Amino acid sequence: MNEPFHTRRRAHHLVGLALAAASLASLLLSAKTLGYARDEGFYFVAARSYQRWFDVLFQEPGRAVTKPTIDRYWSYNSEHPAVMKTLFGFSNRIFTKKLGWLSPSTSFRLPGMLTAALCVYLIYLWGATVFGARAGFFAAAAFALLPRPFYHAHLACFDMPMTAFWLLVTYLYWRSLASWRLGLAAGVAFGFALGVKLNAAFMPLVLGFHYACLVAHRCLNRTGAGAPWPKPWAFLFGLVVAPPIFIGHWPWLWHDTLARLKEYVGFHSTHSHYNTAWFGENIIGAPTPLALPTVMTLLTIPTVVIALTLAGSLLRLRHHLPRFVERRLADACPPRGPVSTNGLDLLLLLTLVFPIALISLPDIPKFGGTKHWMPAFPAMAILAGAAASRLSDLAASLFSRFPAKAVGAFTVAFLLLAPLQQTITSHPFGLCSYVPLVGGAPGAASLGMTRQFWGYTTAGVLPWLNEHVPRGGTVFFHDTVAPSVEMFREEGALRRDIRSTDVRRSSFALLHHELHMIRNEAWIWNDYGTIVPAHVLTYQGVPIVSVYERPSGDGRPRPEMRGDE
Amino acid sequence: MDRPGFRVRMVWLWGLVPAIALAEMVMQWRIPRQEPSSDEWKAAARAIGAEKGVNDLVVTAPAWATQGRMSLGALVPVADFGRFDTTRYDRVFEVSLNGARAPETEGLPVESEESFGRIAVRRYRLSPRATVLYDFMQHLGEAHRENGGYTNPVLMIDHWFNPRFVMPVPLKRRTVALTFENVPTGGVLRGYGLIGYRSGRFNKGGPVSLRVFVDGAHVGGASFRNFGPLEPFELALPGRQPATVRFEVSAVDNLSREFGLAADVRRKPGAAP
Repeated sequence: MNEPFHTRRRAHHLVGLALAAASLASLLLSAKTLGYARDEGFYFVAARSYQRWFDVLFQEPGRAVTKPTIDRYWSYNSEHPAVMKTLFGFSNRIFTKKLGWLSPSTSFRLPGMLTAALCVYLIYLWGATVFGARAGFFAAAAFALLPRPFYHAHLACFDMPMTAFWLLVTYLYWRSLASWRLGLAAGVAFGFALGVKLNAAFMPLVLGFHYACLVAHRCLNRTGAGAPWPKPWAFLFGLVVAPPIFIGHWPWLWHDTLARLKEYVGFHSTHSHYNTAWFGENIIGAPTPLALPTVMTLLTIPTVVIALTLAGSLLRLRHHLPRFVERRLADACPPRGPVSTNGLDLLLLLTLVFPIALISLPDIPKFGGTKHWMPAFPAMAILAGAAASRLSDLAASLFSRFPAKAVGAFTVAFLLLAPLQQTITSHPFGLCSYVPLVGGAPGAASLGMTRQFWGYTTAGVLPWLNEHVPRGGTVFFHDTVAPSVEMFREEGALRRDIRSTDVRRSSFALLHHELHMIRNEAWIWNDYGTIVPAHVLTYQGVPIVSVYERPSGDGRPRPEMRGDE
Repeated sequence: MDRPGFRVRMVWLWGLVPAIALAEMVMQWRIPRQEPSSDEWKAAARAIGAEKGVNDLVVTAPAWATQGRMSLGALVPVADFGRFDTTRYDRVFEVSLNGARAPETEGLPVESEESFGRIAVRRYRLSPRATVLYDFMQHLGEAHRENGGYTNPVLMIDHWFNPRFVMPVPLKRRTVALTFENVPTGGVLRGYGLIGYRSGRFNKGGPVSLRVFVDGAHVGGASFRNFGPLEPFELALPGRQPATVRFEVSAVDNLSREFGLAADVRRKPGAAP
């Protein structure tokens, strides 16, 4: 292979953009069946509130920047910065209200989908430029076809955007080691990354460590005395431009800046633990299991991608072996692929390991499936791409009767089939998906792992509710928050006359199955006087949502056993 | 080093990757096909319904297959669903998916097995069941309640997320008492106490105490704590005349927790009827 670095750059951009467009199209086409996640409901409200502030800004700029006006519109959901919520709002304003091209939920979700497409583009670009087009293609496609990230890529949330900005900053930093312009771009991107989610604040740790290693290597390696020093532009520009971007993008910080920054950091440094099922145990407090992120990654990323990531890591490690090992292996197993430029291999390894290691710490709350360490997955995909490319070369040499390009393309396509199949069959149950080697969702349920969270699977029972709930009937929607239920109504997925209420006043009750949610199910059993659901939505045979119907003529007094949750 | 041999091994090692991909695809294709249809559930329920006696228990394996309740319906009464143990049953009908076993049937020999598509119904015989002389749960509505209480049993969730059918007892600053008249004696008062699961943030607080009185005399009690073992308490209930049994429940702190009590009077093991 040994493709020279930075060649065919324009072609790489074009192919990357085509893959990104395909990714975006697949997300737009598959969005309709995906219910609204709990957090999306809050962000819909926040995005609308912030847009009302922009209305004021456009009409009375002087009034818009006053503290009372800012507080009125920006206090809602001020525990998260505003880049994505502002984009959700503008997307809704443009694509739904002005142009009428997209449904309200899809327009809110579009910016998140665009960040997923950005990931695909950057993964291809980075993978193709360093390991070849085939590696880049596999990496980009494999990332787009990871079942859980595919789910997150649809949402008006921050986890996929954070993944995209983490990748963007990392890529630009790596390129900036030889270019001040890209250092400036990295600094700007870092400013916006801080505006996406707090996770970005950890990036300087990773990149700083990488840079320190590069400098130390340059100092210790006498043979590289003539080589240029890695340039620290990304850090310098990051220090200068990122803070004003972070504060400037978020009007809530314009008054009482220090106090509010403290409040923001304080919220996250003392973040509540939420429920996570872990081998039959309910985790809701420190110390949390160290192995959870690693095990969840293994249980949810298609195993072929894990195997290729491992193989890709070993292939890259082959370039960095000590001399005595090198001498033994040199003939039998020569290093393949390009040499590591500007600490590429170390950077990929750090990007893969750090997000997982950070969330593994015992005091860190662990919830939300795999979403909090998704920034590790692009590096995983690139390393897997390097291995897939090597495997396709090997296949071409084994089947030399056939055209090498065709064999290579077939190999890459074959390796993508399993992730493709898992992604297609898991939609719209992305958070319920587990790899088939552990038995899929049934296997995970038997192991006692988290079945779902965020109450987004309500969409799957709406047709049943629309058919069975009498006119003006009442439904307890359990984990689906009110703004999400309202969005179902707004888009016509739920009949407008169906009212949302609590268990005691409801005629129908939903239960999103999670280990700790059985307490909520007990409320329904006791209040309805039955343990028999009227309808159960399953995924791979595992109950996801149960719908209870209050038996008619049931007027028995029930003990009040509900509490705090 | 045998270099050609090393290369062959490397090729085989690489060959594992497409093999994994293929295995994944086949398994992914198979998994949803192992889900029983509603007809299969109904057929299994019909077969059990034809044979099940009043003292038989129906369980599903794996336990997460709760969609089965739609077909099993009345075959699983609430009291059975929220049982603490199997000492009150003669036999167990196990509705099994893909060969799964329920904990209740562990170590028991299969008496009979019948397949309904992807569902197997197995029957097991349990040890001779206890003879229950009086079930406090069934008389909760008639009980005299002091300082609060409820008239009907409920399902409460234990700290391991199992539903338990109990008499709910509110925890208050004052002792809460339940008094039952005309309770047959001459056996064993056996029961379970349960601090219900609320949420990790609220599962705190000291023990909950239970004191039992028979005709005014204190005969024993038990203490329960959060995440404590779910073990039965047993108290001898001597005498031949019906008696008044009084349960007193008290807790010193975190009164926002929930407490549940399940108890009966049963004939002593080995005693003549």
